[in-house]
Amino acid sequence: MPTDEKFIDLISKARKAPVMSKGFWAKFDAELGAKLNAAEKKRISLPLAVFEAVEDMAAVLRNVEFKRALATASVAVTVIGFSIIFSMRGGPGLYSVSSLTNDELIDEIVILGTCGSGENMIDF
Amino acid sequence: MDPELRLIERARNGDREAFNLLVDLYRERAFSVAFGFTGNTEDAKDALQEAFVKAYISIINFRGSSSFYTWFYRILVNQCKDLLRKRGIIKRVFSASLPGPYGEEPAVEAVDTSRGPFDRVLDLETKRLIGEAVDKLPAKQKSVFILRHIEGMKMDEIARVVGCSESTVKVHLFRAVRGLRCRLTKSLSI
Repeated sequence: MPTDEKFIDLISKARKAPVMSKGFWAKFDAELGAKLNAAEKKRISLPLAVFEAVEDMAAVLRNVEFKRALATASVAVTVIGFSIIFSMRGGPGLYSVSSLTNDELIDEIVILGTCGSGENMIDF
Repeated sequence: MDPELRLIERARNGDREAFNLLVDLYRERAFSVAFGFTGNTEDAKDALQEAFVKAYISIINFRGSSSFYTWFYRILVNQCKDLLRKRGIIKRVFSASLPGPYGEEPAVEAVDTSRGPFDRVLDLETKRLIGEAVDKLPAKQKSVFILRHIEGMKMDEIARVVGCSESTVKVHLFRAVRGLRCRLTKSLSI
């Protein structure tokens, strides 16, 4: 046998697994069975948890009380929104400074300068 | 249809009984690979069980482009590497055959550890030195060496398991043997 083969043979024999007893394999199977059960439970429980969360949300949306509260809140928001819009109608409104002419801009600055004092003053 | 393919198909459809039969088919061969990596029965058992659990979870993704055992060995080799990395076992003493602290017999549930005259010649010190030398090999060289010389796999199969070309496998194998020879020549007087 060439030296290399002898050498490899020596190493592989030293590192070879012992022949395990039937008791070992019985224990191995029992432990593996438990691990597989746990893995299976985990695999099933994850989609189930997502499904339950979606179902809970749907149940809340189907609830009559929730529907009534949602409708009331929507009406309230709509009424308040329209009242703000109508109250602003006809007023000066807001416009961009860049759209003003030089004279108009100077007028605006003078107004700002005269309407307040102290901390409201614009420092040029 | 090949009976093994039938088992795989059944296991993919969630048949636990079929998966258990696949475990029975491969556990002993796979155990010797895990033992080759870890050097002790307890770690080999843990790595093998975890590999089977991973295979069970991901068998649904097995498309049959390679053989089942090549696919499974890839999972097993990665699992062994992870286990060794997690436990920080770089210099593991080949402890499975060593006596306990009070001189008692090692707690290995083996049927018969002496398998011929050659094994009797291989004393504990030799085994320890060899174990240390194998553990010192880089991960890829170690995988290739174990799959080739302990599991007896073909080059193309090893290439598929470790995910590289056949020529790369040959290079790793050459370097592994050279590395082992360097480490062991002096200590074993070969």
